Amino acid sequence: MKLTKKNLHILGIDTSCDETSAAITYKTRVLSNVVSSQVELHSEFGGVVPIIAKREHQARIDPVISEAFKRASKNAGKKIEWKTIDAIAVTYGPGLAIALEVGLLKAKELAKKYNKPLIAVNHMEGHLWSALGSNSEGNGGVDYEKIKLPVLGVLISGGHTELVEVKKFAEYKIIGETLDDAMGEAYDKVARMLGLGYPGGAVLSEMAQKGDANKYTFPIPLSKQNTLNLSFSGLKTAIYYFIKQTEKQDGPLTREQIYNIAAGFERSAISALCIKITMALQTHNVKSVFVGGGVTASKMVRKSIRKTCQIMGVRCHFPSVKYINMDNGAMIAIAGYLRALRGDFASLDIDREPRVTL
Amino acid sequence: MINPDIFKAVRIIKKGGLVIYPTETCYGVGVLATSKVAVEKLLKFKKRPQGKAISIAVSDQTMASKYVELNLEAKKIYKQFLPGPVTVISKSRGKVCKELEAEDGTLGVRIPDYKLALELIKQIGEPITATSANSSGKKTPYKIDDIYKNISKKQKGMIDHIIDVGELPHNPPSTIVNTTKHDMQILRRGEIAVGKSLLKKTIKSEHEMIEEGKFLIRKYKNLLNTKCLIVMFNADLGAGKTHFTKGIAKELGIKENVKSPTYSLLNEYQFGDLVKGEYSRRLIHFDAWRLESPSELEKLGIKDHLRIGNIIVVEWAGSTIEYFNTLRSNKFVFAVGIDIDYINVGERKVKIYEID
Repeated sequence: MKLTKKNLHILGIDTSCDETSAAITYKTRVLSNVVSSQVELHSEFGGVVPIIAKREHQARIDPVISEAFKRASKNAGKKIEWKTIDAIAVTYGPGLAIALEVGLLKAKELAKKYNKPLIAVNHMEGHLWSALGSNSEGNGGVDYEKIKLPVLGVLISGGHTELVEVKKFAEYKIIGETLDDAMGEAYDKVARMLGLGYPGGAVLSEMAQKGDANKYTFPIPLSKQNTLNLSFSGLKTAIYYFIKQTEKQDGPLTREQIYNIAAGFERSAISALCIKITMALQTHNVKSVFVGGGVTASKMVRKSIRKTCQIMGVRCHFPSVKYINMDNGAMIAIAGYLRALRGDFASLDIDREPRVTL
Repeated sequence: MINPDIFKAVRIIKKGGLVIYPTETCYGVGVLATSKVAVEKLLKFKKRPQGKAISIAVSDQTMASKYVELNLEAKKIYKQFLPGPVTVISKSRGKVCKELEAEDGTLGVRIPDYKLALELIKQIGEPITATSANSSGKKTPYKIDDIYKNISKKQKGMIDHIIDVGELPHNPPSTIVNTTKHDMQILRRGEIAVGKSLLKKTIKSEHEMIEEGKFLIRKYKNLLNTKCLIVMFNADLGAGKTHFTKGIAKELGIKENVKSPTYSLLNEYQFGDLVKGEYSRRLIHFDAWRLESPSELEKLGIKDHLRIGNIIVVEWAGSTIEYFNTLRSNKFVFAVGIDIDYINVGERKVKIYEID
């Protein structure tokens, strides 16, 4: 199948893990981006979907999609309906098998019912291009026609930490990844050790800003080794041990100590990442860097990556639209748009691939 | 000098009225948290379903401790962050209207970092609701106009008073942290019956931890022809669980890199039947750390993997131990426990034992 026009409206669906999300985009403009944990859902029959447990994708998928249409219409200032939609993009992996299945089945069902082409998108591909997204008025976001290839993708989230080389569009090569914990996971787990509740990664990052990063020195994992892979479990262990030892000597941690440990942790974790980014930029011919994933919410992370890229003389781009750094449907629709422009559509018998890589 | 607007608001809220008030994050809607009539009015105003929790705002930690049980973790967060844009979830003492609590009996509490709001609550002398003044799912209200544009005439009629201070800075909503999950997830003695001990050893490196994982598989290779093996860890954060599992995978001939399953919840690796040469068997690496409730296990389809020759590795089994105990009643299931204790930064004590 080939679509003759370029100005496409795409429905994007992502159910890879915790969130049920649907979005509608026009080119790379995000007209709506509904993420289940961020909304109250009223289903079509007027009732309300209780969010008893997370990950109840089955109960949420229909109301999330209809909310995406409703909001898109409002933001676009015109009726967005099924006949407006040119294609459906959906995550087929990686993720939790039973979760992926819900989104994929729904996308296939809708593609058949409304006779729309289907686009299969890798969840990580969505994160990679999330910086392209602009708001419904077209503000923010990188112009996709001006992307300078080859690109280095830096994908940092709760579940993933990957460095990806993109020489040509849709040709991805993972050149480095975490060997154990993801970066966002390390934030949440250290937060937990410091007794900051769950999920405490964002709080930890806030606290780190008040601390002195030079007070305690923690290891920077794999920093001296000639690999682009990362590791965060050793850092986590070092901090656990440090907390235990300190509490044994001086009793419960003081506020100052918590700030300083948070700052020390963040510095090590970010250094580990930035050392690998520098190494990747030295060893690979890269014209621009695209950063994506939930960890980009940390100001310090953004600042450090920006500085690293500046030193190396490479432009870097971060997601700018609300929610688009999380797991969401808009990034899937945008990656789907880039595929659609190349006539890259999926057959209706495509299966989920929980452990697929880029 | 107390703002005269506050006096009026205090009077109205005390009588069960509904007041729009400013906080550091956005305009909130406040009703008396202990009044059923007032809370019902709020739910109608918010068009919010019952059964979805609504946080309360208090003036200080002392007031908070009357309405929720503050554990050490919560106290720490109060000390560090409150007043401020953090909502802390604790166990409710059942003194506010039931509709505000979550299904599991917890309640979100915040102390707004906004003088006027604090003064209001102080004057009232008890908590008010702390929920943004929009209808559910609508735009975050930073000015009164944001609210008015998105509500019906009927909703407008429900507002008894507005403390309007103009447009507020566009700060993000408060961060929510849950403090009730503390210590829940480590396997506790007494919940499992420890059988034959297999190994007690001091491990000095990550490499040695991987070797122990390999040892476990070599030990039970024959048993895997007739049983499904469940491996349950009893170990704290950063003890080396993932490394042990790397060893299991290696010995099974799995080439993929074994990563932490914390976020994905469940990682699935295929490996070959060593006798038949088919890649039909699976290593399931499961982590219950992020589960909201044990009932979620059923939905994750763990049972589908309960097949002869498969291995299910469970991290943070504590909160889900009952479920795994029922699985073990299946005669094809065989379970092993692994305790990993810290000695110091580079050394761990590892104990491997069968679970009866």
